[in-house]
Amino acid sequence: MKTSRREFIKVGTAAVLGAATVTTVGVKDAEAAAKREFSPEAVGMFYDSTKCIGCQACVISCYEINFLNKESYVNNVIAPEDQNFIVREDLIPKLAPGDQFNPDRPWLNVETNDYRFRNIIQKYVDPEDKVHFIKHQCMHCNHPECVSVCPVAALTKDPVDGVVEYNASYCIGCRYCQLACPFLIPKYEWKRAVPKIVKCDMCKSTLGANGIAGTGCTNVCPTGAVIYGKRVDLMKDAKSRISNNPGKYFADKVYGEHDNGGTDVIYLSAVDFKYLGFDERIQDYSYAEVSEKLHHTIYTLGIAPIGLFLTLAVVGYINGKRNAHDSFEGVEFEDEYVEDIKAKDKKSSGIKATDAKATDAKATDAKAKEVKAKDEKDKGGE
Amino acid sequence: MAVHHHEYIIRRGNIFTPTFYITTALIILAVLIVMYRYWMGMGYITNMSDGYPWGTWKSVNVSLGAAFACGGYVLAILVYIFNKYKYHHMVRSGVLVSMFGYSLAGLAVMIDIGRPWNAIYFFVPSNWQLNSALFEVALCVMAYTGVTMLEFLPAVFERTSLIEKYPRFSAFSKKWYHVLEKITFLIIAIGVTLPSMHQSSLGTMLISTGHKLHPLWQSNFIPLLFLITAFIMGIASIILVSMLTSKLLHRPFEKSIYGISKLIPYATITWIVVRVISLTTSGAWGYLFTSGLNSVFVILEFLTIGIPAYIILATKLGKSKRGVFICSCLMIAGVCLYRLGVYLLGFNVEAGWNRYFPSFGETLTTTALLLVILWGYVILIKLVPVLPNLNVKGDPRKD
Repeated sequence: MKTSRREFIKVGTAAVLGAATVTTVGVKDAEAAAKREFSPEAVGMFYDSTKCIGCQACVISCYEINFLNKESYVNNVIAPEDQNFIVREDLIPKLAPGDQFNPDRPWLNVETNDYRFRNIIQKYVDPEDKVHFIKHQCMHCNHPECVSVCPVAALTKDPVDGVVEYNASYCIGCRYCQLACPFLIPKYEWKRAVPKIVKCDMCKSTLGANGIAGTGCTNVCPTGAVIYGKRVDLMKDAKSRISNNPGKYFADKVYGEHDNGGTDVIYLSAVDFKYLGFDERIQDYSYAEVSEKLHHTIYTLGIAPIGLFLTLAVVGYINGKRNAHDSFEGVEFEDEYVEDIKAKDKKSSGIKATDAKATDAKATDAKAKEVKAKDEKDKGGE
Repeated sequence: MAVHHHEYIIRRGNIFTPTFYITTALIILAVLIVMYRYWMGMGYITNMSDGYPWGTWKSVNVSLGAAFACGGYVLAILVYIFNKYKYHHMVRSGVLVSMFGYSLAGLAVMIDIGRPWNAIYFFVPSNWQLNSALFEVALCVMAYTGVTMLEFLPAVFERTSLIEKYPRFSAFSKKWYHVLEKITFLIIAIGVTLPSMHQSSLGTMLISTGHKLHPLWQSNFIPLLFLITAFIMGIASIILVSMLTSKLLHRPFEKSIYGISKLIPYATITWIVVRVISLTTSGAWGYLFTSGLNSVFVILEFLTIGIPAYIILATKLGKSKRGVFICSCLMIAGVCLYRLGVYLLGFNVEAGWNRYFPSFGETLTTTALLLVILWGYVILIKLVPVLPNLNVKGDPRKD
């Protein structure tokens, strides 16, 4: 049964060397991970903050298409006008006062209403009392964290048009997408027994399914502040607006060109984007790149786990052979020493040994349990 | 008494103790809350929000519960891989804690996720998402829960083989006991590989949160640090479980604990070295004294994990029962600080949502789920041979 020190060292070193080898091999293979290219067919939206007048027609339109009449759009059963919010006043979204235009909050932050809105207009008043609006919705990142972390592929990015879609029939409701999204976009139906994640899908499941082009928000925008199109065209448009209006836009920056690895939804603004609810700490790469690279380095082709398993199996087999003995022995119950120790404990803790008479095993055990319960109360006392 | 002594014994006694009643009552209360949560939606009993979507069910029950359940993992490595068969008598109690720890972690996930019926898609290959650390954690935890049950089955078969009323069942038990014993090396190999995978991936999960995790915690070394904390917590849980069992059930002190305690410096010093490297590579030393509670957690974490190494290596206290017990408590505290720091405290979206603090319902269900370990332990040690047999005169295992 005894192992010599040399054997111990031998086995240990072998295991460590094995693990080190597979790890090195893994690192070599995973260097290939590179930044993703945009699909040339990718669609997106382009929002120019300087053109927005804050009418929120986009919010209402989105609410009507994707929340109120979602079923009718998806199944194409009722004419959408039948449930129009203009006709039925009770369907107009009710917002708590102060929540809609709170410059301190980058997002409409109404706890119970969050899941109803896929896009939101917010207002920022700069030090010169100028008003800037910003529209927040899913950015449809090129390398989305939400898609990368979803364990059951309920969130997917279409390889052609680049839309990040959500499929509730696969979703397990783990909310990892919410945890990972740097723009804090996915919303969860907290107070429903059968909850879903809610996020923009560029109206692909509603308007798109009915053959209507564009999105709810872009189709109603009266000033053309938000427009829909192919990302390459939108990017050209944005660049030309910057070159035609020098000094109008903040840092001549198209937000979403590189941010978080590039996004299909792009922005122009007159003020720094950090005032408009985009976290300054968002990087030029997607965090999904970092975690995927690390994860795949560890698990390249499953070499590390399989190697570890095989090493362990061999070592365990050898050790098992060495220590082989028939250990099937039937059952033995614990007996006398319990009482010895109990007596000793009582003596040392000063409790009178009045119950020492108890000879019945059950009676002693009941006492033991009492002591145990007492001890458990002041567990920390040890 | 036979010449040959049994390695494991059944604790003689009544199952229905006060401990049993208290834990059962709490568990029933938690079950009622969970039923309400399934009926109404989890928003009614939790304080989680869209900004802070992960609460104590994941951070405490999964991340800490699965760490505490690493006793079986550490013992499996020690006994079967490093061939230290002198600790073989501790394996079953370690595996028992692992089994319950992992089962309750799985249960907590099922309470936590909003659409648990869709968990079936973990088994549909077209839905496999190999980029997701959570996918790997979920599969590994499910598989390892099964493996711990396999590891524990010999204890059950040892007992059921004695049921004379059903001779066929008894023969069945005996047969399968031997089958399981023959393939122990395979079960152990899987049972060591799986925790090595998912304990590190529990950390990888938080890397994709990027800037939302405070720089003191965010690092590419999270997976390695989580793996080492699993070892630390495993060692500490072996010591704690053994010592509390000895003390509360009036059993002799198990001397093997001193042997186990020699592992403490290796694990803790490795952790400190890696943590220092991690803080250096992510350039986070500047935050060490300037980030409020985060700083307090990090400093306490270094102390609670560093002090046990010092106690064991350099003081007389480290050679005593009291010292070893203190070390194990400190290590548990340190691992809790680190893992909660990554999962709860360090996660800050800094954007309007109220910081997460667990609600009453969450706290109660989380506590009850942890109590399941104690509950299962006190019941099963009285039904099947789990506790080491120390009833041998002159046995070196006994103090």
